[in-house]
Amino acid sequence: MYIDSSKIRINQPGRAARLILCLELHAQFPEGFNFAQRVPEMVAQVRAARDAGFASLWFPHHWLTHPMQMLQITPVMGFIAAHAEGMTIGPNILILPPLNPVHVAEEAATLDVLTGGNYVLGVGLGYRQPEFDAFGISLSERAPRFNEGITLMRRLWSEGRVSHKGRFYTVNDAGIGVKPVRPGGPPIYVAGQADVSVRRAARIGDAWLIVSTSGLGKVMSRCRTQGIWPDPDGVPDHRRVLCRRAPCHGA
Amino acid sequence: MEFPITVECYVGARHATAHEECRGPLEYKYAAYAAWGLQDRTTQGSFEDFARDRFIIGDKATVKEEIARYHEPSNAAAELGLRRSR
Repeated sequence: MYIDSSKIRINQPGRAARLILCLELHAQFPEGFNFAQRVPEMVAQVRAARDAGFASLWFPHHWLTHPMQMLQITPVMGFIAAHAEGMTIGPNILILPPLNPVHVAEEAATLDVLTGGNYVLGVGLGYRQPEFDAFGISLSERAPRFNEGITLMRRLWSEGRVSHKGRFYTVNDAGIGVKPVRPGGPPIYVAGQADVSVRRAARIGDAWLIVSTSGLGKVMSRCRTQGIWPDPDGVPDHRRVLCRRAPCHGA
Repeated sequence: MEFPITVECYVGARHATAHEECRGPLEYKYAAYAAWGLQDRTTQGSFEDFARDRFIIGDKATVKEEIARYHEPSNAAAELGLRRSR
């Protein structure tokens, strides 16, 4: 793997795009694998990525994945932050609707502090019925919960005391004690593949987090037909390629 | 503005054997995704066909070339931004 930090010009005078390489930490293993034995390997991988110039580390998230094993990412990110000085860290993606946004905002603020202001909150709607059933949340409510949750988290990060009475969440004249290092809180990258989700990302996210597992050509084709871009006056300053290390269980 | 995209990568010692080396683990993982209800994630059929346009698999030189495509002004990602910037 390599880092090409040179800049290229893309059609507008004075505007340039830069390719940033990132690493999504492999955190999914089949049943029977001993995760405890994998922790030193994970740390070594993080240090190697940091030393090679990878800009950031990303972590996939799910609940109830049996028989596949997946570590829960919030404690993992806190642990890894100690070995990833200077790198951006974030979930790719945290399933937001089943969670209370106050809890997510608090944890994000703490992680932003631990990473020196280098935390990015990647969030998505989720789609698995067992995950929503387990949290007692209706899958049909995921979009409005998602929208309200993001609004509330941004207020908690940027305001002192907050009064919020929404459809799903309530905060009565209270605020989070630990504020993020980054003013206004960490950027929120919104994942989505359906047209409506991509439009939502453009509307409320700081970036649309593209997962190309359905095929880059298909994703880009959809973008063209939808004419979607988060900032109608902008061009991408950075193309952040998150290299999800393909698993090699025998390694 | 950031334009983040996630791509699964595998760098093998040799291009000829790279697909075969990562095939099993990737099929396991995407079979799980398919079982969770993601209909376009099944790897039934040719793994090479499934991997094409989804993953970057090869030796060091090939993977480097493929990643560099995301940096080219003529690629789809760049077109997207430019189209909306007019």
